[in-house]
Amino acid sequence: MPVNRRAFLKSSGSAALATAALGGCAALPAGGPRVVVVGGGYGGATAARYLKMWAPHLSVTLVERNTDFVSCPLSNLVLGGSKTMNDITVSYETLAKKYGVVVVRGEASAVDVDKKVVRLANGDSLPFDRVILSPGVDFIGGEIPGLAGPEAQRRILHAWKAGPQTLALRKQLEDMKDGGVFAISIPTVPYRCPPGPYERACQVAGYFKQSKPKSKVLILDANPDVTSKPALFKKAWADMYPGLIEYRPNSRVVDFSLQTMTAKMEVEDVRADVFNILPPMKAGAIADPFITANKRWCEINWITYEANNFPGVHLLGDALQIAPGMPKSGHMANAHGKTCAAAVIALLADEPPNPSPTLNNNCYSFVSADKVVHVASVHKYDEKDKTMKTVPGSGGLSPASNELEAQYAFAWAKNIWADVLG
Amino acid sequence: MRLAARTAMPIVFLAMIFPALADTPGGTAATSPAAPATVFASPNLTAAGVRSMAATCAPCHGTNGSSAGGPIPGLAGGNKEYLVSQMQAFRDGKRQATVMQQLARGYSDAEYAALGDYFAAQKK
Repeated sequence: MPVNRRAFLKSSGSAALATAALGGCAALPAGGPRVVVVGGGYGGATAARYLKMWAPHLSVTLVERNTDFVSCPLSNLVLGGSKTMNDITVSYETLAKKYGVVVVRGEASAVDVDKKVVRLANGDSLPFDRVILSPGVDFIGGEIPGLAGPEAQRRILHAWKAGPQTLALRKQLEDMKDGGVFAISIPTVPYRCPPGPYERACQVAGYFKQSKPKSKVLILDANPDVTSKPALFKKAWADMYPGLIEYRPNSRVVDFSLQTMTAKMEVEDVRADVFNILPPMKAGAIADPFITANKRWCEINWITYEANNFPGVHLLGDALQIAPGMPKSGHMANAHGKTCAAAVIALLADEPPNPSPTLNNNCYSFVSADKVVHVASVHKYDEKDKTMKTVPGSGGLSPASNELEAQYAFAWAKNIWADVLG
Repeated sequence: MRLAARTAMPIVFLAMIFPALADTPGGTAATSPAAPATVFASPNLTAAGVRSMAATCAPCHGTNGSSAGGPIPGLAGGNKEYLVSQMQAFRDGKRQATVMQQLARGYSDAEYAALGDYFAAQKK
């Protein structure tokens, strides 16, 4: 049950003072100040690991609903058939055994900012001195009436959180007849992983090219153009999948019929055999009380990663209202996790947090099983506008898709998974 | 001390600002030439600041520069002068790379030196 927003805001002033007073307090149970991290993805697990690595005296608890970490990056390769779920799944065991993070498998249902506890769905409470929320995204339902029922929910997948839906969508592709149509619907920005849908189109087209050559991939994009690496993706589609991928910009799905497998657009209807509809996204539900931007995202102080509307509660990852040029990516969430961990350590020690954080990002996209394109950027803190900005002249794209960067992309995965999870 | 980006960054970068931003997701929302200069915070070269900056290298080069494997080299225990010279070579286009020439341009000479010291002191 989420915190009631009105009651929450009413109490926030006094609780904020309490938070400040408790920071660095010595009269705490053995194990040092308690930090609870909610969400064990690229952002939250990184924060937990770095808290313990940089400040072993802290008592760090990570709440995660899934048994294992399943990576969204590389998950499109499972749809393409060149990787398995096992290849993209990593255990939380090292984080617990080697780094001493207490990993609690469960569903966090609310943050009680007055009592300073995270409440779990099973009735347990986890007390904290500082709390870090890294809940990722939730999907906004109700915008497409025809998708509301349980049958539609079961059959029309997003597969935008790697896991059971990834496998289920792969199965739908395997079951589809040759000559069928796979349609992917992309919401307007911002959404998790800007290049992800276009990479997915490449991966599905690669599978069709090999196994179902009469089939087609249809991209229904609510945006006016490809939102990331547009020239590189369009070149890949033209060169590698001629006649196999059709791209339709300004194509927002407004309703859906499961009976006829037809998406209703604003000006036309589109039939397909397998639909993959990515709903619009917002910050994960546990962060609802801290949403301040467009009813969808959480705005933060980029020095401390504390919620703008509630200092004392830290937020990071895809749930944030992004800074200019900052994608919602796993790499970026990993960078948020470290910056936030350093800030929490400083605040708990009554020291000033780093006034000049640096972040970088590098997103690899597989345009086939063995060719990759990247987009990279470096971000520094702008004191005037109090936000992160890309450093002029830094960053950029691959000049063309290439096999060398596929090797680097796999090395990136290996290294970042080890960085996130120990 | 506060430095405007324009004075902190070598002039050679300016020509690259706009093409680079145009291709960065969301980057098109950045400043027009007439807008006030971005005021980046001075680099934090304290031990904690450098440790945090070095952590931005970990997704590719491994935690504390110690690689978990694969073709991307680790940085831990490396030679400081070598690391600094390679960052400069990436930045100046004297060493070819896929990503590093783009990332090197986001860090200053003082930051290269601090990162070089940090990684040289890390265990492989």
